[in-house]
Amino acid sequence: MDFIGYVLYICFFIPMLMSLFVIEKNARLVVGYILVGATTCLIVSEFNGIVFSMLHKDMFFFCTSVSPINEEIIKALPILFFAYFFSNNMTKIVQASFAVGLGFAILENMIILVQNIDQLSISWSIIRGFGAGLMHSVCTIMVGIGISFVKKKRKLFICGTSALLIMAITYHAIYNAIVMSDYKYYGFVLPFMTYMPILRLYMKGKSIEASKNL
Amino acid sequence: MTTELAMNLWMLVCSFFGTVYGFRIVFKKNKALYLKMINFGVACFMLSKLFNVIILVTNGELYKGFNIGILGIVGSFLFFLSANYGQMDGLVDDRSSTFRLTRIKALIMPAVILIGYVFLFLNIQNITSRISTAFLILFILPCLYFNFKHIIIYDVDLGIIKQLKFYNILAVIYAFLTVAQLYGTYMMITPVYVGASICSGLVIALIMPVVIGGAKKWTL
Repeated sequence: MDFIGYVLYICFFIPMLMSLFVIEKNARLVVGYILVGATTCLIVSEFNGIVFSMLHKDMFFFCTSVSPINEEIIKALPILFFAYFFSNNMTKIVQASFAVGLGFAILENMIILVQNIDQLSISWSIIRGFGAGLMHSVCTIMVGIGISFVKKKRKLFICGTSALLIMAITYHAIYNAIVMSDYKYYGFVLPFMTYMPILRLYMKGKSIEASKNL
Repeated sequence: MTTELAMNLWMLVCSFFGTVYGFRIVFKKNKALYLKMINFGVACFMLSKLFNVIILVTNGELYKGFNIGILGIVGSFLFFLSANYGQMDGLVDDRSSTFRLTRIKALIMPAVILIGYVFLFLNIQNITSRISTAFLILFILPCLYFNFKHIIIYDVDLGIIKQLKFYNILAVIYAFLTVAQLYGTYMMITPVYVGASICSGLVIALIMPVVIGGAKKWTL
């Protein structure tokens, strides 16, 4: 990856890290995992660069068949870690998952912005914001919600987590295939259409949880 | 429109129907995790076909060898396996010697698929196609084992698994149709590919209504 990627990462990372000491405990989880997501993005871009140079395949094949696998596996690791060692709470797992996707998407968008500085427009930023921004978050939420379900049973954990990961990889590959084609402006449709039902499901789950706690 | 695109579109439409129907009932009414996993399996199949359709429209052809479309099918089998192995199997099989014969009999279907696949494997020339199809078969076999086992097992526990017999039959058919599609694709037998694809679409569309119908009888 270019040197600029590291510069952007440092500029983003340090102020966010400093804010962790000031903000409240609940917000700390989200900000902390946004930082984890950004770090994951940096690791993935290095890793993708190495794999791309080794494979000798065209960019379209790489983005639709290889990079979604690398990205989703590496992005899922912090969520797995969080779910396994820190919390059983579905709300917290979903928040952490969303934050990882968000952090990943923010840094990725910044890197792509710098790389395509000549072709920028407001429509480009809206598409990237709704498209990549939501897509990465939806993918990690998929894994996060699933983990909170399958974690209850040991027999389900490996099998179920792998299945969810594959689902997220397929979803990510579909998005990449759209944005790399001539129909790239439709790229935001898929994440937006899936985000809405997930949001509804999450709100419903939260209200059920709240009514249980009463 | 090519045959491949038409078949993928057909399977996409069928699985879309199954997925939406499932989500409307299973998630809206917060049904059992077993049903949610099967619903995710159907959704994974739908994503796999959506990927294929988009690649066929934008790129003209699917990659020979490994592609994410195959991974989506693997995902659907993993979800079905999670549901039957992780959720149901413990309820119907206590690992006692009573069911030893059933466990052995359940190996018949995976053995049939494996033998059929070995023949196909020897006829595939491309090494990446060999690896990706073998990877798919690796997940079909355990899934098929549990689905078939739950068809033939003697149900002692309130008829839970008995109500899901029709679903398990559909899952077994789906596994066989997936292998038939591989035969059609790699042996260049178009009628087999078309027939298997049409039937796969129908089976996938039926899975959610059938499994929900079966689960409704649990409370009776």
